[in-house]
Amino acid sequence: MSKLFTTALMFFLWSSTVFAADKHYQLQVDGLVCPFCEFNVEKKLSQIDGVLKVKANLKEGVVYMLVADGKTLPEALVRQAITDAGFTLKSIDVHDKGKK
Amino acid sequence: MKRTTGYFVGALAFGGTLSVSSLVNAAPITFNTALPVAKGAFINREQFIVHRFDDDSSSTNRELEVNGLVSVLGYGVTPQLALFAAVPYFDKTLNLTINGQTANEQRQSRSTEGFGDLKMFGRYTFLQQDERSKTLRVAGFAGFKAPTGEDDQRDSVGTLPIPLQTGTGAWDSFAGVVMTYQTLDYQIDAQLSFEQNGSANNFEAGDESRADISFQYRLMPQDMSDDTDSFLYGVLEANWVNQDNNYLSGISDPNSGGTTLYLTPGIQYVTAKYILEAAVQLPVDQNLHGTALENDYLFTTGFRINF
Repeated sequence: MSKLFTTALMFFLWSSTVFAADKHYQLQVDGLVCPFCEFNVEKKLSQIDGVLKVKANLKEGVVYMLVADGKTLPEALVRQAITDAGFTLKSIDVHDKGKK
Repeated sequence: MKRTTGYFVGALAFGGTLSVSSLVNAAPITFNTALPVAKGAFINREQFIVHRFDDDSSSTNRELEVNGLVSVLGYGVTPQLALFAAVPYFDKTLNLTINGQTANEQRQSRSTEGFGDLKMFGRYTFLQQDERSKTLRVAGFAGFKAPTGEDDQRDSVGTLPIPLQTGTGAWDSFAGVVMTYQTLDYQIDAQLSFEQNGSANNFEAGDESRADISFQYRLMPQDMSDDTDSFLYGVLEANWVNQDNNYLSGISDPNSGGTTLYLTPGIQYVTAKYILEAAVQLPVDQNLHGTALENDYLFTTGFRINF
């Protein structure tokens, strides 16, 4: 079931980049060590204006975010959300793909 | 009367377990000080507990059965500071032989139920070192127990003995330090704490020192994938509890206090939103004073949710 959800989510993320200009954020989050940690990270990041989807990958210690077209998230805002969730933001990568 | 206070050793060990043993990530089963709480988030833990004391060295052949539901609520004030409250509901039954070795010898059963004393504490994380897929946290905690439970319940025989009361009537305070080290494969939590017990009804329970350690190892999945979203942990905990003698009307009770070492195997299923857990505390070494009633076992099962 979770594989199906992940596949659907990945398809959604991919299709969004194809048909819109949404941005993909890839966050390296330190201290992410168990499924129970995921909830708070995903909840805090989802509360940021413009964030459409959030998905954590425990194995890689990475959180993927999809951000709406025209929205740019200040690093400080993302860092604070991660800190409030109880973890440490290591790095942010932004992939900005235009409409096709 | 000494015998009565002797019962209390085990009951206090149980109370101590409730106080600090229910609060940090996957977190231990037998203590609560390590429960993880994000800023502005709540965590709720409900634990059903079955505790038996029945190895009585006195002629009264006492058996104390304590069933409890312990509710713990935690709130993250800041990323470092979290507040917790824990309240138990008890159902207690004491069976004992009265007028032993006489023509009037009989088995007597007395029981009660109700809310126990409210415990509240704060935890401040003063060291946090996060790395990729591992974390180290060290926190201090301090709190108090308020006498919200009833301490003067009666039955047809008269006022119930102290171990049967659901509350103690006393204000107690406690403090300690807790450490968590966690990786994707395993987690270690350790706690040192001290509880100073107050007096009520001419009775003062002995102060309690505890050392607890918990080891949680991921059994499933053995190999993680990109979409792993739940863990099954095998848990092994050890709890060392030392209690001073109780005082009755200012006099030390020789049939109270002592040291117990528990080994606690358990299991924990961890998802993003909830955790299911169960463990049984087995007393592997009990060095209790006089005729203090010994622990038989303490079974704990319950769940935890984030919201």
